[in-house]
Amino acid sequence: MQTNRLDAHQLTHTYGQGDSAAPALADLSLTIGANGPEAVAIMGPSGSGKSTLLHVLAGIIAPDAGRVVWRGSDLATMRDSQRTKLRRSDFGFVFQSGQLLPELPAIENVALPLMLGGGLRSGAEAAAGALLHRLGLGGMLHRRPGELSGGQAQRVAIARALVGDPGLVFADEPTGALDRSTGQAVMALLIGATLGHGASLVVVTHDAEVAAACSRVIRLEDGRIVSDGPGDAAPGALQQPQAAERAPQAQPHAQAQAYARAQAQEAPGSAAATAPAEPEPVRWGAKAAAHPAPYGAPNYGAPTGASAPLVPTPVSYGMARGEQRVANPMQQWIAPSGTGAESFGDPR
Amino acid sequence: MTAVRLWARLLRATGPRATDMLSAIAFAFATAALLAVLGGVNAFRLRLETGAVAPDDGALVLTLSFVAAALLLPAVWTLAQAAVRLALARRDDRLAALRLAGATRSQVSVMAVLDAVAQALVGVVVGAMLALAVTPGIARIEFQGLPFTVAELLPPVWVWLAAAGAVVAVALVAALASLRRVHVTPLGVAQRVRGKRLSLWRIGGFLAVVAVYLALVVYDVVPVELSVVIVMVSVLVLSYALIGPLVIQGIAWLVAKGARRPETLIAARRVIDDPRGAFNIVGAMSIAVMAGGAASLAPATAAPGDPFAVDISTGATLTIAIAGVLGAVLAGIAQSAKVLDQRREHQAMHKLGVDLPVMQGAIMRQVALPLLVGVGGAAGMALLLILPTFMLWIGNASSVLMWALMAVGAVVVTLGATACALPLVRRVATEAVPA
Repeated sequence: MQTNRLDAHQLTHTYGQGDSAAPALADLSLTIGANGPEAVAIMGPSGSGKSTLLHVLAGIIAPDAGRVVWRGSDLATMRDSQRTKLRRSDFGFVFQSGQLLPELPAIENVALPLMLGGGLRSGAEAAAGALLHRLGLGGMLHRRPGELSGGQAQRVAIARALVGDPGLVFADEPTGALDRSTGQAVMALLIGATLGHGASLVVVTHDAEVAAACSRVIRLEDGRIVSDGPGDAAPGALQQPQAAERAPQAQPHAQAQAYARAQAQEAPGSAAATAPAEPEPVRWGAKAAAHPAPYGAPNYGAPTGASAPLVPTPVSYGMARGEQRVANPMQQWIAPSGTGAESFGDPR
Repeated sequence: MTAVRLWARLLRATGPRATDMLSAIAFAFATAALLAVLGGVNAFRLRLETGAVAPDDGALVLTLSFVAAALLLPAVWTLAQAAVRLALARRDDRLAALRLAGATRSQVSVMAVLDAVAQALVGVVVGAMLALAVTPGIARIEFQGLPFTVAELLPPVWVWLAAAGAVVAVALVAALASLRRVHVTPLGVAQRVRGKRLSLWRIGGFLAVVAVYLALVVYDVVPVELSVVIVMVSVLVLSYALIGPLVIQGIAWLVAKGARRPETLIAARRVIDDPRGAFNIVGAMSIAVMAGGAASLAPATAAPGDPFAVDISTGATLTIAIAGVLGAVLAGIAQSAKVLDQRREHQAMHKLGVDLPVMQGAIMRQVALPLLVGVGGAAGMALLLILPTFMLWIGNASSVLMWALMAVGAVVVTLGATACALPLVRRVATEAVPA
């Protein structure tokens, strides 16, 4: 199995020349996904180099010096076209806004990465439709981005980032254009669905609440890492990623698996529910089982506080013996209809 | 006056850019085409006035030259509009920033209009020189059995001034129109919702024109003069502009449904989104091809050696040629403006791992699809018009072949000009440098 591990060694990058030279990255090294999927927040003041770091890690720009190694391959040794292909096949991206093609309906926006990878349109749209159903957008498949609210558009972007089964998802201020509660819901969905998919998440943000929902927070200043550790675990924030990091390999089943199963049980009418043995749900389940629990923490409480404002009581699912009983904080947002969808502010 | 001073200062600070050059080139071609067409009209008018040609024939040819000019005017208008869009494409952000910084709506308008008008003026001057330069070439063409003279082809000064004024006025109006979105949203351009629907009145209008044509021209319900017949044929041909966008949208919808390649899907969706924009690029050429197709039979219907029939054929060829050049420039300019307009999308696609050939393929198909539908449909309609005269057609193969070659040539040149926008895709997509 390929490990979704990304290593950055002594990255240095400077904008401008001479007196006006501004170092964006200064001898920066880090590793992501060493112990399985994790959600990493990159924080720092404006100009600290966080967006540059994300672009360098994703192979969008080449650093002046240093190496980025993904799954054992050095990005610098690849040709431009190979890096482009890598971004398409191995990475997923969620930006602040303006990322969906405005002329394409949601389902085609999500199917596009699979078609770009050479997939048949019918298969790509089936996978995109199933994923959008799972993310609660079953009724919006044929809406165009301009007809979606900000939160809905971001969920479509999350679906597009995940549809190609990436090993790592990069997000650049994914909640920057959203109001607070929508932003929290989108963030919870992004973390839950990405980790549930067995991928790691790297999110650039200036928002402490977003960072608190991540299992690891890296702070940058002047292109250097000034701190790298677990998230703040602020009361009321989504805590499960921290729990996952404490014992990443300890709970082999988990939230993500429960997530897939919950879909089958709780969402009759959705693609996952009507065909639980179809490749899509199996892929999700299998993928999830192969990776450590993203938020399978013992005694994990209900999603409460800022990150879970909508459902007051925890939702638990029946599990096989020996498995942890965990709440699925995603359930409220991934239901194809009902309470969650409204929170995104249907534009109609 | 503050706005004018600020505009001058910004111009000095940034200097002209590649897009400004392209936009000035577009204005230059629009002006040159307009002046060439007006020169032709002027020559026919002079010949009639001086009695160099028989009055009847002369009047008819003059009417036809007006028709040809009318066919080309929409292309000139669209080209000027595209030039303005290109001129303003990169300034949206700057103008929005100025609005945020406290510039009033009228100050921003003045600055944008100055941008567009300045480029139009440069274009008009270059275009006038271009028109002068090609006039000796045009003078070699024979009409009414006589070659033109350079003097004939140069209209009076007031015509030149009026043409220049018209081009600048178009720039001004188009600049004000395209500025509305900066006014609406200083914080940035709002995401587009579903494009404006095409009115079904277009079908009604087209059918009405066909009905009147059939009544007057084909069935002679009311006896009319030849000039009315010519006007009716022109109106029928021009009514293609009513139905064309609908047809293009419908076919693009079918293409989108069946698309297997991402570039085809993206291009078809973009055409569905803006069928009028798509048709504008190919409309003039389509109409010229249709008119040329019908005219290609003229030599066969006339008596051997009749100079009038040869004139019609020459005129049709000339119209297709001018429409082809305008269409090609338009396609290159319009697609460049689109690439710049959609730079954020292109940057996002680059980050997401979309290959450059896919983005470039979408840009090409965005023109190729309406081009093939528009010109192909027009050629088909022309063939239908001349089908009843199949035997004449066989007997006059060279004229029809010439027309077909012109049409294919116009399509090829247009695709070639579109390809000029492709390097811009690479530049725009890869230029994103985060701070």
